[in-house]
Amino acid sequence: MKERRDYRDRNEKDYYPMDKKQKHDEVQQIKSDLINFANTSWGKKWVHSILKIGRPYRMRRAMRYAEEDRISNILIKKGEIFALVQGTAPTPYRVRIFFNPIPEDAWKIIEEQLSGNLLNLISLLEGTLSDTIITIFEQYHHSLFPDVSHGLNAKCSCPDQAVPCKHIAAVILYISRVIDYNPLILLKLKGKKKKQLLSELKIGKQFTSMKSPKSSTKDEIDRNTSGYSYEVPKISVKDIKVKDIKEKNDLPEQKIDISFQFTKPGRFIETLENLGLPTNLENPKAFAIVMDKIYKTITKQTYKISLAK
Amino acid sequence: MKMNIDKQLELTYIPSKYWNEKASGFSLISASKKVPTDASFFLIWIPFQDSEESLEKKMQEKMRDIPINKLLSCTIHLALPNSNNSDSYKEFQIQNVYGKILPLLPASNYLNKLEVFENEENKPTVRSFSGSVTTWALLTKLTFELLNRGDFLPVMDKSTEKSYTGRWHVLLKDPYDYERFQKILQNCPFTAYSLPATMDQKSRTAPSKNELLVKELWHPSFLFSDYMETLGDILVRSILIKNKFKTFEEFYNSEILKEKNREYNLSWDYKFLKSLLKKDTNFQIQQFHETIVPKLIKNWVNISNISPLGYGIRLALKLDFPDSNQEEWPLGLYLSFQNGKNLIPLSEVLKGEVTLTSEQKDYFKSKENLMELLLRSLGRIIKIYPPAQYALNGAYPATLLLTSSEVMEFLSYPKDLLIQSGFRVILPEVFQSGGKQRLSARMIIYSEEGEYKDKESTSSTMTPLFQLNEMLQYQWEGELGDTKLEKKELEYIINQNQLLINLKDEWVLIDQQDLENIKAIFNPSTSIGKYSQPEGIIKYMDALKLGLSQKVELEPAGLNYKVLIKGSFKNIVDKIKTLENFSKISQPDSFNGTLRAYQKTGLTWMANLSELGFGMCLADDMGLGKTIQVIALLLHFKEKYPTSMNSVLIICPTSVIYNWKRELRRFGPDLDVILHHGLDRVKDLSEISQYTKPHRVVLTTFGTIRNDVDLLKTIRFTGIVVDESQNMKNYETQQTQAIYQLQSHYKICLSGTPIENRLLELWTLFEFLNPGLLGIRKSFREDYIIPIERFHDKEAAENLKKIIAPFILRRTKSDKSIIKDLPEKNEIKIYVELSKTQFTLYKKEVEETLKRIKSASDTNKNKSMYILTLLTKLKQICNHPYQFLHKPITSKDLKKNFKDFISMSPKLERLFEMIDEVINNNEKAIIFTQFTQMGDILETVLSYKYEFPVLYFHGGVPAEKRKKIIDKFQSNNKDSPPLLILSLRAGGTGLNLTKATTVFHFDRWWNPAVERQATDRAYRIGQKENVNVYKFITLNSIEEKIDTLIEEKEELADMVISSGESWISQLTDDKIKALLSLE
Repeated sequence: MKERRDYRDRNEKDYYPMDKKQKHDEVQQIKSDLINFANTSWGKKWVHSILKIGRPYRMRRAMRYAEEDRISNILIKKGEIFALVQGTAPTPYRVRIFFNPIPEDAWKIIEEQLSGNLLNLISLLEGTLSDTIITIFEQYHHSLFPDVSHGLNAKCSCPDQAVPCKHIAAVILYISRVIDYNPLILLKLKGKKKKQLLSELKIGKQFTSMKSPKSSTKDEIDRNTSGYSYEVPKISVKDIKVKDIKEKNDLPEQKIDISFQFTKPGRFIETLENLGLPTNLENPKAFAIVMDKIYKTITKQTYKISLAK
Repeated sequence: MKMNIDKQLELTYIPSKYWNEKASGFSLISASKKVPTDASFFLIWIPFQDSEESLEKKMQEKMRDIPINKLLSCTIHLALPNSNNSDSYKEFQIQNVYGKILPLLPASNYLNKLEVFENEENKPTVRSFSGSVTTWALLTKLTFELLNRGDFLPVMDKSTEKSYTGRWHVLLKDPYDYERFQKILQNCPFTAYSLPATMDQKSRTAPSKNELLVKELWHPSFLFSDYMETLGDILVRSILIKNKFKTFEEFYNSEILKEKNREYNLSWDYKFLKSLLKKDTNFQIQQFHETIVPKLIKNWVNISNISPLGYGIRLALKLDFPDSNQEEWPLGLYLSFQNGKNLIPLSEVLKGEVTLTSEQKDYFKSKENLMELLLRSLGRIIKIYPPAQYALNGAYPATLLLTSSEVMEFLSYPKDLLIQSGFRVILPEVFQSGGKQRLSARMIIYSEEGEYKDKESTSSTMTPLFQLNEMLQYQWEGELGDTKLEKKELEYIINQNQLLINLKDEWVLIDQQDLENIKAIFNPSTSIGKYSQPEGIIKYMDALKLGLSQKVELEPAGLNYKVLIKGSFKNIVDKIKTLENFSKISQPDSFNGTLRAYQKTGLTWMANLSELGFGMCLADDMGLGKTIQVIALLLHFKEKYPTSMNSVLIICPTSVIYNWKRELRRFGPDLDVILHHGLDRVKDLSEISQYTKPHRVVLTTFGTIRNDVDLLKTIRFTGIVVDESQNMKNYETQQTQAIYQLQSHYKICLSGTPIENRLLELWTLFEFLNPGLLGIRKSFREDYIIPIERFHDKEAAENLKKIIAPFILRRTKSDKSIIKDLPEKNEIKIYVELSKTQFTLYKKEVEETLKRIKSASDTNKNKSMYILTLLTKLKQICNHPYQFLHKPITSKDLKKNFKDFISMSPKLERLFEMIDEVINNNEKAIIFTQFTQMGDILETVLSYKYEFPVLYFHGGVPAEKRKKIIDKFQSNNKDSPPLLILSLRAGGTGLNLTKATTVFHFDRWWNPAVERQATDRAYRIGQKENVNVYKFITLNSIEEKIDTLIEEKEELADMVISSGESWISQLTDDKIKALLSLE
């Protein structure tokens, strides 16, 4: 667990002069807290690249914003993040942060490189941004992470005109948590959605020509004045076998040859074993134990119930 | 005219989505009650019937386990075929239906246990359920089975933009499960899903206010899956609650505390689990980073879908043998199409070196879709088998080269997990698990003493080779494929403790589970079940059970092992398994008659099994002559072992004891028969020697056994024959318990109905015949009764069949091999005695008439009139005293004294027993009587006893109704009444009653021609089966005497034909006296 500091106390201390060493240590501590706000290596790297902008104390206050439930309506598209941040004013401030997308020709080269290793693609899809991938981008001078050496291109509707203001900083920090879960967002920000990326891979070219089938049209809903229609799959009355009705009285009903088997559950439950664990669990061990217990209880009890007198 | 839909109880699943809409017309009748808006339920209803009373009555009758008074009532719109137009069933319209609401949870418990399977030979129709009840019961059973197998997943369903619900979904991932679902779907009647989906005002002639035409119904496949999903979720949650599931609270208490303190940064895993376990199923997305969670869960659970790439196509891993000189085993990745017939290297597919056919390409939706699935599947492979990453560290999959020890590692665990995850794993052919090379163990059962001697030639006594309480030996052997492993080899394998073994220069692959089981079996210090020691002893009956089923389960519902039997024990088991193995027994010389071919077979079967000391059940159809076969057996043993045997006890219902006595006298005049029946029977131990004379037949009744068991159990009989053995179907009754105590060398049960379908009765019977063979009652219930009766478990049924088959012989009239032995009309006489009441009446009437004749000394004409009147009276008395006394009987009277009423006429009593058999065999019967009064009585009594309507055709039936009665009887409908009473005269000619396979002549028309004509109504062209014709004859009465007369003098018969019954009065006085006396 991270140790939480009481920021208000610390703020009061700011009025007292500190010696250089003390101050340096404190800034280092703040920086490390900020970096640890993210959980994954690439999340941390995101925070790290932002830190170059300086203003550690402001960033620290922003961290508190990010941890509270103040940020909403986040929208991420090519080169831009948009979000609402609830500040001190009644209406939330609108934050927009801009990034340089990677030009299409550079993407082509990068995609070629990405295609060169199945492992990288797999781990990316599974929610891991490996160092190899990060390096591929940097090799072509297109980092996935923001370059703030010349400042940050961002806007906020708050009165504070500084960049970053507390709200911009909060959103940037918050994004590190988002990409913790889904690093593909970084690629989207840089101009490639997952679907595009996958369809543009060098491998499996023979599938490129395939078109995705049209999404099936929804059932037409007939809402006449007198009638009504449920939105469910339907069977036309005409298709119901007449046999069901008419011959029922003349023919002996058909016997269905069907059987069921209940087994005493063993140690091994196939589905659970196959399921494994989802990614990004906060407490994988507890989750695994609870799931295991659930499956064992259900398989055992349904056996008992079904064979009970 | 109303449409002719069965007025049965129907069951329809009503999802919340249906009844919450106004269009459903849902209205709760029970005041001040409410149904939770998100609850789905079952509706119990009867088509075209909206009275509460009739619904409740029917439910009490058919769904006794459901507490009706606890259910809420409602009316709701369902779609039914247009009742005004019986020709067109294509029009459905809305009906406001009255019904009872059955909540899902109790409903599922009820349906899961419901026995909806009909036996091979149908049970009587009374207990059957409607198609809709069957449909929902089958779906419920399927859902329970999926949960039992663990085939369910946690998912997140979207409810609104930011909120989701946690739900448990059952999975139909196995093709077999899917197939069963389809089967249920194809066989379901519309009443299971008659929810209107699209309704419309009747366009042209919209006469009445609410007449809505229904164009479409809810699709049953949608409704069924909705039910399975809803039920799965409800069951998982309720089972966890019921079992006080606490693990979640234990492991997440810090999060629970946080939530109590209204902190917002709860972990999503906690929130997800909570939505799956607690009442509030909501998963609220509070923070932006959580928006990914539903997707994440979707990806996670998708992994376990059996075919990650789509239907019919799978990723495959193929392991090959090392090239001749190398040590390395290649392991490559492939795409496999259509059940693996077509295998293409994945790298070639990705490189584009192989062009897929358009058909193959059709499996995929789009490139990005395919790539995502493919990459995720590969990722899954790496997780299961990490070395796979070395094959994927490039643009295209490479082939891995494994050393032998790496192959072992691959085979030890990842292989199975990969297969279970939906990947194909292709091994070199000799490795195919379950194939020739499988390592297993087998149980050898043998007896210690010398070889089996065919003792038939030498022995003069009947001594079985094995005593039933004897112990046999067993020992385990290792087995590879079908060959025995030498001890050294087995030890080598166990000590190696590896899955890939080079045995005799051959690579052998061993299954992990097999290895573990074998280690456990051959390690004397571990025990995984009853016979899991390397060697030991086993009870004879247990050995017989295993020997017959040829397999053994060490733990309940566990793995099966082969059973081999050896030595003399094997000879016995092999012998009893096939009738052809028995030494043929020919008809005994002293048998007075001729046995038909199948009866000789029966004799052979009984004689052989008896010599071995087993019990058996001869379950031939009524009319095939079980009694005769038993008599032949008794004679056979008498001829074979003239002196060395003890007596034989025959137990039968009172109604047939005299029939037995008569048949014994007729077919086995050499047999010495003694009755143990009535007040003057032997009651004292000192006189017991009467019952221990060799081959003496002691005839007794069930009732007597109950009282005299203490006396009879002291005798060791040679044989016990229990006739009408359905009388001992209840284990708990005194009667059955008494019979269990009797001792004998062999035991034979006779039954006219199949016994193998009523399992508890079967067990009870076998506990008498071969005690211990079917195990104790509790385990028999768990291993066989419940799986078979409730779930139609085929494996259990087949196993049981193997065990009991040698001890049951059942031939039916319709067996092809039997038909050719049987006359088309098989005439059998049934002898019954007079009851006390009948006897007294009979005697009085005879005496009075004789007196009158004597005193009057009238003209011949008067005399003959007296006699004819008397004859009629006597026939009436033989039928039933009530008929003679013209006493009316109503069902109200019967409620009070049904049993007394029946027992007043043994003829009636016997008729009832025989009708039971007819109905149990799902056949139909005609009962002829020449008296309308008797017909009336029969109709009243039969209608009282059975739930189906009894048809009655007599002179008073108006002409227009006659055809209807005949049509009803001849119908194929499963509810068609199986019994028809016909007055002999009213029947007339020209009736076609070919559906009857049994004809009863309740009283006799002493004119063979008239009787034949009547019989022929059932036996006509078009009749496919043989017809059994039973003629009731009351012993010592006029009925028996005239019957003998007709049989003895054939010339008389011709006279009879021409003159009706009046010929009797022309007999001489002496003859008449003899006819009328009761001796």
